[in-house]
Amino acid sequence: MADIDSDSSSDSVNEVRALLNVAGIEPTTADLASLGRIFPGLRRKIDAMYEIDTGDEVSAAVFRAEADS
Amino acid sequence: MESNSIRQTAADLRDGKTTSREIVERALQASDRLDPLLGTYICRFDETALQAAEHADNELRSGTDRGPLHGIPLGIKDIISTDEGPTSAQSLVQDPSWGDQGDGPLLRRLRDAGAVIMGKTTTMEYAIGLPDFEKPFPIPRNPWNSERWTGGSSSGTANGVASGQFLGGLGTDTGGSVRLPAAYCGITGFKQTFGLVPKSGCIPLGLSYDHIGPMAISVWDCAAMLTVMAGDDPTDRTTVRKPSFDYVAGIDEHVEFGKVGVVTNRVLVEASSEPMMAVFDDAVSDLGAAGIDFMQFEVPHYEALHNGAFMALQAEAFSWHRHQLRDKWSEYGRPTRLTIAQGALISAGDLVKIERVRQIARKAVLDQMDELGVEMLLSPTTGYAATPFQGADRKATSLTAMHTPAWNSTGFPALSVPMGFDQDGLPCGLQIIGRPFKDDVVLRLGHLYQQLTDWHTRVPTEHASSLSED
Repeated sequence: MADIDSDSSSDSVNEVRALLNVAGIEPTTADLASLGRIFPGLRRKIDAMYEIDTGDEVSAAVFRAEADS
Repeated sequence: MESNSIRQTAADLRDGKTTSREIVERALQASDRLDPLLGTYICRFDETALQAAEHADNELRSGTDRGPLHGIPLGIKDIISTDEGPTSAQSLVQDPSWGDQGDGPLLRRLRDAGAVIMGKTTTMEYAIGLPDFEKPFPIPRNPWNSERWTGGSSSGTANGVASGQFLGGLGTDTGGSVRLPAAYCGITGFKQTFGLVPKSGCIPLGLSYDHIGPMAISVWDCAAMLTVMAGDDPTDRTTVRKPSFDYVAGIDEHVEFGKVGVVTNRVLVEASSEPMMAVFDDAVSDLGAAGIDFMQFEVPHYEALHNGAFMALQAEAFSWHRHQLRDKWSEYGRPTRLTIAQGALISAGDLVKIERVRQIARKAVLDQMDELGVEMLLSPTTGYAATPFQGADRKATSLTAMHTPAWNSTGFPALSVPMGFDQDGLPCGLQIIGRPFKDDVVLRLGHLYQQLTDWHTRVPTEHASSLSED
């Protein structure tokens, strides 16, 4: 971990590493550091989405039973 | 005069002033000179292009006329499969056999319309990376200043049209990748309504945000291409069944436009340079003098639409690239792998929320347009003109795609037309956004603007060739 950029919090780096490892991905140390720096900003953007009231709106990716019939 | 336009060349072909063979030969000669300087092509199809041109000439001579694209040379972005060769996506990762499927429905439509496919054009890796000097692929350069980027990711199609190596071509647009290079290179590019054109045969980036769009010198030319390209196809379930439509017919006729909204969101204005806003103000004035009625328009949920497009396309891209990222991480370019890997950091629940926000935001924009009687919206296509490869202004680079992705979220049609030049002599783009499936209205306004101005007829003085000269 000594090579990890000091701007990356170890929590972010560990979280990113865990999420990528689920997919079997093992990024380089430098790439992991970069993603660790990016992650908090990404989370803020995602959290901002939850501030918007979407009511009962369905997602676009809704299953359509008629698609293959 | 519109040098290198499909419209003029189609007229010349029918008047017997030239032949498709002559045009294609000039195009190949132009590429011999310009491609090494500008990095336009991944691969050229010289032999089959000449054969197709001769076939087009023979048909015209025998009275078979397939329309405005008959005998017209086009470039195809190299994430779209064609019969002639492999599809690289400008990546060392891409399996060459992916392209064995040959033409998709769009390529078949273009060939049926008589178009001549000249080759596969450069992009950014998988349509998402950045210029990568470490990889063995050409670096696409801007014909207005070769030390500047073309913009991405439909880079080679844009610089090929701008430099006169072909008359039109295909780009793809997931967050602005048709409109942004069109603006940087001083040409016209159109992202039509989502679902109007099939995407089968194209390597997806974010499948529910991807569009394949036409790029050419003028709006008329893009309209001629869209007329051929539009229409549902069973191989792409995102396409929508609509009656066929001729986007060229009547484009010259005078019509009354409704109100046009000038986008005033602070985040957009702050992401635009003063020179860009000055050029944009002039464009609005030109349209106002022609009788267009403007009003200010604050787009609801703009940042959510913008951020949502990026995050969702990253999630969708990750689902496509997951195994390759696992097995070939270091073979991807660094910007590409870091961008796509962020899709793994977005949960399934997050993605559902993003898509729900997308739906309500899209509806909110349409409701506000209805309430105010606004038919179309205007903004600059980019906040800054083409950025340099070296010593780029970090702000200019980071804000370069602030103006376009929201319209991939809504799926609305969005057109970029040249609107002038900045203080460094670099082209600037005007973005015209319309209501879904009102593509014809957007094209009509863009065409009107190109009757009022001659920005789209300007050609780079150093790196350009004319296909219409003897």
